[in-house]
Amino acid sequence: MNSFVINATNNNANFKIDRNFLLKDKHDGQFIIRNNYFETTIKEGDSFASLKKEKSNFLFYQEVKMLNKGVIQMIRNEPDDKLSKKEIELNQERINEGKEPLKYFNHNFFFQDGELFQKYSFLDDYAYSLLKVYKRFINPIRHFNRVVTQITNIDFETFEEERIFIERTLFGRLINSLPYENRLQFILLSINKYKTIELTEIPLNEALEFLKNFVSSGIIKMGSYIVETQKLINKNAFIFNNQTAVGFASNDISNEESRLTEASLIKFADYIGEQSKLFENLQIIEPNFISLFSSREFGQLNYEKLKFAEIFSKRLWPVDLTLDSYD
Amino acid sequence: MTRMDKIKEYSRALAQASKWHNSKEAILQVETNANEKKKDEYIYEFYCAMRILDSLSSYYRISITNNHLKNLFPKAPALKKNFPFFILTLKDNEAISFQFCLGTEIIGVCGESSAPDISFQEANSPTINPDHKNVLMIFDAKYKQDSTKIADIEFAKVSYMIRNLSCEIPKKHIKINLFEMNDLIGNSLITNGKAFKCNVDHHSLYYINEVEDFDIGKNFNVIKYI
Repeated sequence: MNSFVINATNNNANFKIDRNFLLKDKHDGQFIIRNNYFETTIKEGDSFASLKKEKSNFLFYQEVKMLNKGVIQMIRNEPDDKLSKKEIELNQERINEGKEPLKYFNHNFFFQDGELFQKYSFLDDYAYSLLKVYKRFINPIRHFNRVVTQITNIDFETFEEERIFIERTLFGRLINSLPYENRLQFILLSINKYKTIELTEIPLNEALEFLKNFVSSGIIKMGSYIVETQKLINKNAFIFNNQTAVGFASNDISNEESRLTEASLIKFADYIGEQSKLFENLQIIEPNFISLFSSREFGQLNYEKLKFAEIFSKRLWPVDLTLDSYD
Repeated sequence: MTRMDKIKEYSRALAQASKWHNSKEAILQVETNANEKKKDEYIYEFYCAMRILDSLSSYYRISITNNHLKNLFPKAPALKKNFPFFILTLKDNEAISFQFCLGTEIIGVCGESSAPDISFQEANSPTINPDHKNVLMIFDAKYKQDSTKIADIEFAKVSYMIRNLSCEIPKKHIKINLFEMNDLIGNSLITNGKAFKCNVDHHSLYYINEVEDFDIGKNFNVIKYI
C-alpha cells in the first residue's frame, strides 16, 4: 500500500466531491487526472492527500491549502479521444516527423470516506513535519510540483492525523524568518557553543532556546534601538529642520567623491522611521516573542513528540539554505 | 486566530523587520573577515548620538549642517565632507560653540587617520580633512550582545585612537558643559554592557572614561578618569 500527494493547484487533477456534507463528516468523490500514460502509479487501496490553491485571509497572494485525504476505492482508465486543437496540431507534427501520435487517457480515481483537513489545513503547516521536505522549507510546494508525488506512509500518517512536530516547526519557522546571512551566523555560533559539527546531537528544545536568545538579544534588541532612536528624532525634530526622515546611506556610496543625485539617495537610503514601523508591527502582533515560540503552550502529547523525534532523529536542522524568505 | 496562525504571522513580520526596508541588508551585522571597513553596530552608535543630543538640546541650540545628503548618515567610518554633522551653540553664551560629528575620519598626529564614532570638534574645524588639532574629545560606542563586559582589545582600540588624535587632555580653551551628561566629559567608551574595569587609577593611565549600562530605560554609570 503506497501513499501519494495529489497537486490539484493548477487544475491538473479535477476533483469532484459528491454531496453536501458537514466539515467533520466523511465524503465520497473522485478526481480525474489526464495524461499520456495508460497505467497509473496509484493503485486501488493507496492513500492520498490533495493540495489546492486558496486566497489567504491574511495575505494578498494565494496559499497552498490541504484539500482532503482518503483511500482510493476504484480506478477507471479510459482513453480520451477528445483532443484540444493544440494537441491535434502537435500530433500532426509528430506524424510528419515519422513519430507516433500521443495518446491521452483519463484516469478516474474514486474514493470513499474522504476527509477534509480541519486542524492544520495549510501545506505550510507541515513543512517541518514531513520526511519529504528535507530542504527548501520555506516553500514546501517545491517538493510536490508534479501532479502525483509519492510520499512515505509515515508522511501520510502525519497528514491523516493532522499532527505536526511542534519543536521542529518552532525552530524552523524562527530560523528561516531571519535573513540568510543570519541563519548561517547562527549555525556557526552553535558549532562554537556546542563544540560539535554534528548539530543533530543537540536536542531541538535546547537549540530552540539558544535561537530565541540569539534573535532576542540580536535582532529584537536592535529593533528597540531603532524604535527609540526615531522617538528621539521626532522629539528633537528641530535639529533636522523638521525633516524627521533620517537614515543611513548604503555603504556603496559612502565615500563617493561626487555629489549624489536625489534619485540615487532615495534609491539607496534606509530610513530609521520606516524600519521603526516594521518593528512596531512585530510588537503589535506579539510583545512577548519568547513565550510565543514556546512549545509548552501547544500541549503536544508525549507519544507524538517521541514519535516525531524518532522519525527525524537522523535529520539535520531544518535551516533553509536558499535566499527564500517568509515575507 | 490560532496560535499557529499567530506564529506564522509573526515570522512573516520578523522576516520583514530583520532586513533594512530598502537595501535589504541584515539589521544584525554579520562579521566576516573580508570586511575591511567593518560596520560596527552603527544602529547602537546612532542611538547613543541621538540620546546625547536629546540631553543637550535643552541647553544648546543644535543645527545640522553639510546636509547635502538630506539626513543620511554613514554605516561605516566615512569622510566628513560627504555626510552631515551638527553645530552646537550654548543658548546662554553664544561664544561657546562646537561641532558634534558622527563617524568622521580625522587625520592623526603622524598622518594616519582614526574615525571615532562621535567626535567633538572645534567650531571652525574644517569640513574637508579635519585633523587632531581640531579635536576636543572623542566618544566611542560599543554594543555588547547579552550586555557582557568590554573586552581588552576594545578598550585598547579607543586608547589607540586617543593617542593617535592626541586628545588625552580635553582642550582647555573650550569649556564644554554636558549638563546631565557631564560625567562623560573627556574621552568616553560608551556601552550597553559592563565596563572593562572599574578602576579609576587604571583608567587615568589611558585617559578613558567608561560609560556602562548606556541602554534604553537604564541609568548609565561612569567610571571616570578625570
